[in-house]
Amino acid sequence: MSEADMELETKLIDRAVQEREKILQKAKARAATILQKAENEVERIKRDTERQVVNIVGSELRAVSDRIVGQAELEGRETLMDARKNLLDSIFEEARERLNEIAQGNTETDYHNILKKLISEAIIAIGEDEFIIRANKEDLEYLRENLSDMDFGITGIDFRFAEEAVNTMGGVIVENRDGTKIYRNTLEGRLMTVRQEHEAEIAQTLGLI
Amino acid sequence: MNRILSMGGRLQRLLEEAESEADRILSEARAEADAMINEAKEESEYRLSRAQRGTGIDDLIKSEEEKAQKEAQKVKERYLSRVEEIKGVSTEKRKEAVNMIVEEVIPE
Repeated sequence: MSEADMELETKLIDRAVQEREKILQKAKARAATILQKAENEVERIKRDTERQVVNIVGSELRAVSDRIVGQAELEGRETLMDARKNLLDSIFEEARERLNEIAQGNTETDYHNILKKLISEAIIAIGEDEFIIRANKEDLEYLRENLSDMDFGITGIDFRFAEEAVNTMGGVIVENRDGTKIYRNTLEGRLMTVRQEHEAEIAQTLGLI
Repeated sequence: MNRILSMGGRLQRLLEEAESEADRILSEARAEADAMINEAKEESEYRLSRAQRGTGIDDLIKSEEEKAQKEAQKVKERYLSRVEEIKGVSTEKRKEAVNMIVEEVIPE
């Protein structure tokens, strides 16, 4: 075998091997592409399926969410309302204590002048000429001694005092002669009315609303 | 010369075998791809039919529950933060409110 023949043979073998490799590489690359496309298609099918399942059971899922989130909202609102109520309770308790101090004469505020105004308000509201006054023990004592000196700006009115003292920190309960009209003007009563009528305003002052 | 011709024949067979091997690779890939897609389709049909019957949605329900629990936690935190604000109302505001009440209770 000549050297030229050997060289030719080597070249033929090299070319054939290269060609074989090329054929196999190309096939493997195409196979990889086919599998990749299939994987993409599988993913798409799964996504579409999940979407369709969610559509089918959507209301059930919404109910689950509504139940859990709704419960949290409810509990949250209750906690918030409790906190608001507790704050308002403590504020009104503080106000009650202040009023008690005023009624006890422990402040600079003239409680006897307040008492006079409370009686005046009651007799104007009842609008008759004979009244029965109820009050706590201390106020009754004071009124028994001083009521005749008080000027209510109305003439021809007559007062009597109830035998028994009422349990109140201050103020009066005024009735007409036959007890058909009663005007409760105690400090507790007025405090309660303020809470009923002005709670929103007070809540606003506290920054609650 | 005869030796080279004989060699050429062997090399030709080598290439033919490579072509066959390539065909086998592609054919296997196509079969595998078809199997994957068919399996996904079957799974999809099974899942959809179960969903229509209201079964086999435990994973979705569980996932929705987890999502809702997170949302619920945020809701709770929002309310708790407002509660903390309420608890921290300043002394000035408290005083202002108490004064307002006392002024309303005492007749002018």
